[in-house]
Amino acid sequence: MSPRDEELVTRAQDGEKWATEELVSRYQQKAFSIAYHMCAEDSEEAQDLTQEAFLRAFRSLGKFRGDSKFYTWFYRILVNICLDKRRHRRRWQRVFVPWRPVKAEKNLSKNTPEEQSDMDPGNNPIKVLSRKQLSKDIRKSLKSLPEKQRTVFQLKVLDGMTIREIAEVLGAAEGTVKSHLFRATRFLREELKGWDHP
Amino acid sequence: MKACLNHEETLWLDVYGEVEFNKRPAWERHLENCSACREERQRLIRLFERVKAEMTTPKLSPEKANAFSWSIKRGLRDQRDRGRGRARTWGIPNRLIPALASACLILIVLGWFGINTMQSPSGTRDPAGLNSEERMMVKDLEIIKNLELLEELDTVQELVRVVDHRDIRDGGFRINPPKSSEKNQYGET
Repeated sequence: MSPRDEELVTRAQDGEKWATEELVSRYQQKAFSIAYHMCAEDSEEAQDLTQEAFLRAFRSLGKFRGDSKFYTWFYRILVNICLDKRRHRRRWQRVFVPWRPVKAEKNLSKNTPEEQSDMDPGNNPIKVLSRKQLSKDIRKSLKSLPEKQRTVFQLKVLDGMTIREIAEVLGAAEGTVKSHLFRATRFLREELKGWDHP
Repeated sequence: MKACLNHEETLWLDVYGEVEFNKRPAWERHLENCSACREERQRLIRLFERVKAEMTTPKLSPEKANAFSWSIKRGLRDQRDRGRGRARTWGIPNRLIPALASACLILIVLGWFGINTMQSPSGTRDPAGLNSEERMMVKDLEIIKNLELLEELDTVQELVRVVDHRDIRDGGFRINPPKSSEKNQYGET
């Protein structure tokens, strides 16, 4: 039986390396997924931010008192790092407005592995086009959401967290999280109206 | 047909799997009787499934996961090493010692050149490189230096004047040749 998080954290606080490694391997995929969605699907940047979050978490592991679960505490660090990075990027985008949209457009039209598999000539071209358009519309709609609504929606729908966990991660009340989630739902339902048919 | 507005939030919570335990039976009863809410629920579930399918995260392959975990371990080791660098020697943090040593070396070198400059004669400076104020100061300095000579020159001039005056009075040696109409000491013209 694998040890529980609390035990691993205690061992890691005592300086046992294997406990640290176990915590890393337990949460690296999920952390990478959160960072990936929060930093515009840039895999390299997501890896860097995840690494930074782990380092920061283990550096301040001594301050972790166990009031919350380890992973919500760790995700909070990660989300804060990602939000900082996003704000920093936005600030730069504001300065270099003429150059950035081209890159942003490139990122939007960047083919995901799923899309690339759809590019097989054997597939139906109408389906390929339709899926490409859907992918574009989803990314565009998510991008036009306000930061808090987008973060809450991503953590809920894409990363599968509960509302309580999101509230802990963002340091907000559950009611606030629900309110952001409902607004995002209303907006996306309207924006993606054409894509909800069977 | 539109879903019931008074059940909208419960409908969304249901789609997200977050309906509270005590509210669930009432909601399920409503869902059985309301086809609009059922349709809306299905529509949202489909939409979010599509969003999820489009926004999947690439899985970290075992090699990538290992490399990733190794880079985190290396980062932690570096952090520990940096932590050791915070040790102190004579109350000075060890990481500051190279910087302090460099500063001392620079001070010694500058001090050495400063002393050499002070010892070198000031006359060797090229006046052409000075500004007008400095040039005037140099001129004044030269005048002060030559003041003694000027005083001596004044004395010599005074002496010449006195001697000339006595010569004229005594009819002795004159510096200026006598005019043709004047007689010399021997009574010759």
